Amino acid sequence: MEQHAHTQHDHFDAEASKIGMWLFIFTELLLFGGLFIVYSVYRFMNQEAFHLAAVELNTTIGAINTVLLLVSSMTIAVSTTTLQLKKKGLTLFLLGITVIIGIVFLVNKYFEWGAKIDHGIWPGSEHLKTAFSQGEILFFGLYYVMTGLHALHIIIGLIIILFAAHRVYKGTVNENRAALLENAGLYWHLVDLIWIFLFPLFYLIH
Amino acid sequence: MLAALFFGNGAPETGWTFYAPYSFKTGTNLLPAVFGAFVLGFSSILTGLNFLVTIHRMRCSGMKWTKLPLFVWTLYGTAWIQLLATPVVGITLVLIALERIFGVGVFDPALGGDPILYQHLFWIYSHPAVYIMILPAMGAISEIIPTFAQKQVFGYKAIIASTMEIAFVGYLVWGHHMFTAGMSGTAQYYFSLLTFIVAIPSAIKVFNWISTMYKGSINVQTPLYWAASFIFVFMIGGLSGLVLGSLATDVHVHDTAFVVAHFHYIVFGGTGFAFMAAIHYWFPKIYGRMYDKGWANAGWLVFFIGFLALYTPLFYLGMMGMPRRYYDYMKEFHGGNILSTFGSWILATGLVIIIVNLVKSARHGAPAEMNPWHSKTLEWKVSSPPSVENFDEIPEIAENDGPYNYK
Amino acid sequence: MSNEKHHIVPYRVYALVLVALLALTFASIGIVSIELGKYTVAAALIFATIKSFLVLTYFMHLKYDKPYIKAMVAFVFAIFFVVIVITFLDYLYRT
Repeated sequence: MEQHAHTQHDHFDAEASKIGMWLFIFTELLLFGGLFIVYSVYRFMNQEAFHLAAVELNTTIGAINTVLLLVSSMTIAVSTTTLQLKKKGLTLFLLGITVIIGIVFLVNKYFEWGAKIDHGIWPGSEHLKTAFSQGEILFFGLYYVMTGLHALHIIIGLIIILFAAHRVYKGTVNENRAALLENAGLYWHLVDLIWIFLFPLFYLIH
Repeated sequence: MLAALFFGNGAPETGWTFYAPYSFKTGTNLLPAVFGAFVLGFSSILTGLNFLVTIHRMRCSGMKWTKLPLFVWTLYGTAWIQLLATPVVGITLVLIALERIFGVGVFDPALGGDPILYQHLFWIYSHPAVYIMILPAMGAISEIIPTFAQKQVFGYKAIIASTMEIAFVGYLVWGHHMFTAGMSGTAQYYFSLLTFIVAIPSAIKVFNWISTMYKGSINVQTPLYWAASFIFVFMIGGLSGLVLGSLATDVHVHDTAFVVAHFHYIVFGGTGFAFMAAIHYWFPKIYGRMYDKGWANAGWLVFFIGFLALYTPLFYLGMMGMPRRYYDYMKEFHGGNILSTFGSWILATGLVIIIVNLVKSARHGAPAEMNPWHSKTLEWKVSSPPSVENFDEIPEIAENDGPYNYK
Repeated sequence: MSNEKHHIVPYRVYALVLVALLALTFASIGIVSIELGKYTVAAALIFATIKSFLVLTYFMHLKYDKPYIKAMVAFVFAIFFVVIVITFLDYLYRT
């Protein structure tokens, strides 16, 4: 066993894990890509209704969440630099901030969804079916599915970051073997990237 | 997915396509089936990812991109399709599941959805999926033919280019499954055009294989029989595909037995024959034993005759208008169906001969040499069966070495 | 592989990119509040595209990566775009 672990150590290839992560990101992009196709087709078919429905969404909360994600993307990006400069404490601090911002994002999302549900707007609800047009039903269906899937990715991203932070703390992720932290960063930026498109498509277009 | 068959309110009755809106209206046990398909998709993505990273980063020294065996190149193309197409069907299945569980309106026409959009998303994956099946098959054939012709493969770079072109254009032709589903006319023209374009690289490969054999010193062995019959059925299957790809004729034969014949000529005749060719080619390497060549050839002959008898009548029946997916047929289709049924028995006999021969030989066959076919690719430079670490020293490829450098 | 040690990005770059991203966010909120009619969507998407380009180039380090990784990323975005265009060949011409 000892021998085996040793050979694996020798096979460590930062570039391989980087392109592995990129390829995985491609699949994630196309996963959301499928949803963006659905969104664009239905938007094309129901322009007026999408307009009306988007008014229901709170641009302020959306904008706050956008700012939060952008800042957290920066903190995790800086943490890869601090790791290479061998500032372990600062790296952990920045990762902590990233995680906290991610959680604040989720809390915001929780209140946003909660407010919608209080107004009787959720997939399959009676209020949605009776008081809204078909296009608006599609809009809210997509709104819940896309932001929900995005929130799921935030949760996964947070777990990966915490895992990476733990490895940084133990020292197995360090300035010579930074691939895990960099991949966690790439994943987090992906989450950011998707939000950059979700925000204007749902909150701004009205 | 199997669980869906046995538990709950009966097996899913949507067929394998899970077409909306029926897929979220049916009372049957659809969710486990969708979940199974999703998990399968995920494993397919990870396989593709693994292959891509391996091919990019773990080539031995001197193994340039232009020295990779063609089989590896086809795996490379396949892996890209797996990576880029599978997530689209993944999200589509998730949407169906959400629609069933929470009543989210996405594809339900009653809530404003468009069922044809489901078909688009479904075929964006499921059309490339058939290229996932056929590309490695083409790769195996591209290995076998130069080996048994003992000749440099004709047009190495053309084969690579056609592989990548199939992978790329094949990604964009999904709509030809939907010609009669209610798409706009413009979309139909484009999909028809793209479908014709994807036929070109397949034809390039056929020309390359045949030209490789031309003036080669041909060593007639079981894998070559399989490979040659592969080219034969693949050509018939491919040409019948053009009939389906052009709009006017497709409307006539859509959803008839003609489609069944075309599909089986490509996927069973193509992939299946190449699979058999590949098994008979790498068998001595895998087990270190040689199979009984007489029985193997007999199995091939019976199988081939059975195959032709089984599927050729379906072309005729489809042209006459016999629809697919019915267990019963009208009187005038009787002759063709009887012939087809006989064919299926012959084919099954051939398959039994092949399997029995291979299983017996894997245990008791004569020990095989290291390189029984005198091939030049690397896997034949290790013992049969290969040892655990494959190479004691990582091999180096010199300037003049290559996967197909025969004299 | 320490011999493939990559470029250490200075803090200043990240800070500048973040400022640019925030500015673009507020600019896009501003621009959609002006009535541009049907160009609103286009404007919002153009801003989003610029932002995603910044994230890809600097935060995701593409600027410092080897060309083939850049090519793969560009290819994936291109093919997704083509798929959307082809899908719309259907929806734009429905009667």
